[in-house]
Amino acid sequence: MSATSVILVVEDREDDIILLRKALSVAAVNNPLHFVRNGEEALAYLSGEGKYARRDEFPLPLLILLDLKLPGLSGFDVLAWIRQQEGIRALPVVVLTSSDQLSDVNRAYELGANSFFVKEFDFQNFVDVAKLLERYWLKMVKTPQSSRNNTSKPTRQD
Amino acid sequence: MTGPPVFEERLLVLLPGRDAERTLQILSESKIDCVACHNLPALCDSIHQGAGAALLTEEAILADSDHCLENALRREPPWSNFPLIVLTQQTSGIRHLPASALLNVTLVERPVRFLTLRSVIDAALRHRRHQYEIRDTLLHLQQAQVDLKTANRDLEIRVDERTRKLQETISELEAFSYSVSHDLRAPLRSMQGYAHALLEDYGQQLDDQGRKFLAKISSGAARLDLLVQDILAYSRIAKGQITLENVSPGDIIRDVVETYPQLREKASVTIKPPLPTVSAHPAYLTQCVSNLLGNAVKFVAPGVQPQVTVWAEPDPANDHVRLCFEDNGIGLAPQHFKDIFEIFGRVNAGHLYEGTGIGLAIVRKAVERMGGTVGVTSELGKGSRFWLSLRRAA
Amino acid sequence: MTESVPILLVEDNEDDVFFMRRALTAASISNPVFVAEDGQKAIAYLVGTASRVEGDNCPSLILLDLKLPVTKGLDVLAWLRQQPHLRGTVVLILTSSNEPSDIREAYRLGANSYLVKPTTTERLNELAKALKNFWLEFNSFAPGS
Repeated sequence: MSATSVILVVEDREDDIILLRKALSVAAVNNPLHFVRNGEEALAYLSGEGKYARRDEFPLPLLILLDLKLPGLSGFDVLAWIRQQEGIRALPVVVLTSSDQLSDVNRAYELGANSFFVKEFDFQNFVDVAKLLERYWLKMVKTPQSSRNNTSKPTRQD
Repeated sequence: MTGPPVFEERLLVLLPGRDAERTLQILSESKIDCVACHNLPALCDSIHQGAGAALLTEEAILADSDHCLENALRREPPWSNFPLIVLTQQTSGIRHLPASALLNVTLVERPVRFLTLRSVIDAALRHRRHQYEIRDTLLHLQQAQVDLKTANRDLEIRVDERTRKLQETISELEAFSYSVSHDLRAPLRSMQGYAHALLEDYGQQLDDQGRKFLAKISSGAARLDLLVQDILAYSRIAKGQITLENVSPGDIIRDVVETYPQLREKASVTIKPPLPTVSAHPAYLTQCVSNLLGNAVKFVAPGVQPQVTVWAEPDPANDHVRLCFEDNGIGLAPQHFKDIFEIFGRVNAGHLYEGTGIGLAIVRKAVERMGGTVGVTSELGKGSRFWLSLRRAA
Repeated sequence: MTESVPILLVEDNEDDVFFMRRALTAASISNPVFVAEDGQKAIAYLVGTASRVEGDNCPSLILLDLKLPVTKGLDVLAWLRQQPHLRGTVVLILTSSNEPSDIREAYRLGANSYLVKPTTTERLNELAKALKNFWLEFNSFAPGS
């Protein structure tokens, strides 16, 4: 896995952004994070529109953390859109949201979310989630972007 | 159609009455191939069938109210400019002849001296022969164009064929990798898994020796797995598709160190900037760096903390960049500087240091495919300096 | 909800089935594990779950190998993503292939994540623990799906 692979975070709440940043750093996630504050911005990033056209500066992300409650386009809209774009529909999307309504969970999975987490209110929860993300999504799981930079598994390290 | 008509060195003669007979006789005796035409339309037909030149009178042309001659000449191919030898009266002028750029006319005043007529006829026929030669050249050119088109088309077909074969090779390679990956590693999992399970469930019933045997099975399987992975990596690098792009070696090195905690924790890796951007394939360069750094960590004397310094210098041989990796490891003797990059080219005792013997062969292959070279200088016991020479980024 | 959620393991190699069951137990995963040895059997099992009472006995976690006899793993994945009652089911690809094309295609077809079968028991145990932590505890499931 390349540590220069970007994680795209789609989150509008300032508090959550701060908490997430801290939690990810505590969990030793060193990947560059790119935050966008709403759905339109997320779509622009993923389509490479406008300033995001420079893919060396704004590469396609390794993983997308998506909040469902966003101003304008909802997280569901973003998710549905991603799964319809041939070039990026294989990108893993982890839905992180404060909503714990069961119907949201259902709908997220049906629209193609790879996994779904409920944000609790305390920082420790954020750290737990971040650690799990790091351990599972960044270290254990194979994703389409992570496989781009590797010809084979490490041969010398255990 | 059998082919373009050949040059007929024949003179068409259209003369009134007795003139015709006498002229024909004299011309024949002078070995000029000639034939009488009864009238202008007949002469025009003969032109069409192929003739060298025509001998006719001014009156015949002036009487051609149907423009029969003009039309016949217009119908001739572009290279043709049919010579007409026209006998004129002393008093008439050429202004009476229809003005036409098509007419290739030589006027001979009557009364005609034979020698004059003869030389005019010869000139006309020579001229006509040249026209046929031009025609033949043109035909050759046309044929050459057709041949060129055909050759191009054949070339395109061959390129398509080669591309298809290349895709096939790539698919075969992928299929091969895939099968090797799946079919060779499954038994390895079984070997390792059952040895482990045996140890866990029945280990208490075994003595030390028994447990050691199981450990050997496990480690044998693990070693074979590494070998399979290295072989896969080598075959992918040897035959895989390669696209070169601008790559920052610093980024790649930092990535590798990030990814492998062993490197971070056990070794100290220092990068001396600047490391110029190079033209490389990111995955291959990552593999090279990973193998070089991994070796640096592994091949150290016991108790020594591995240290690696990386810097760049210009390659004296060309305009490449040399990325140097210097370590404080066990070093190697000069006679091994070359074979260390061979497959299974291990130069130290296998039981002292773990390794598949393919790591550096992979590095060399990867660098060669990126258009570069590798090398090493070293002294036994005093560390080694490995270098990768790659093209500068455009 | 999590302990009774069955795990469907689609795997043709009986050794790998043995090792996975062992690792799941070692990670204290007590969910019932159903095994289908090929794609056809997996589909038959999943079709059967549609007719049962909603939420009852329907696996919410499927571990799917790619190289299967009869029907390829990716075909099983494509099929199940088209079944309304299975669209939200969590499918983890667990296979020996590390090929980028397989990885991409699996995500494209809707796998939740892609894991390469570890070659050592230690790593397999780690994977089982991660499955427990990530999928069975923290991750919110689509219930009854």
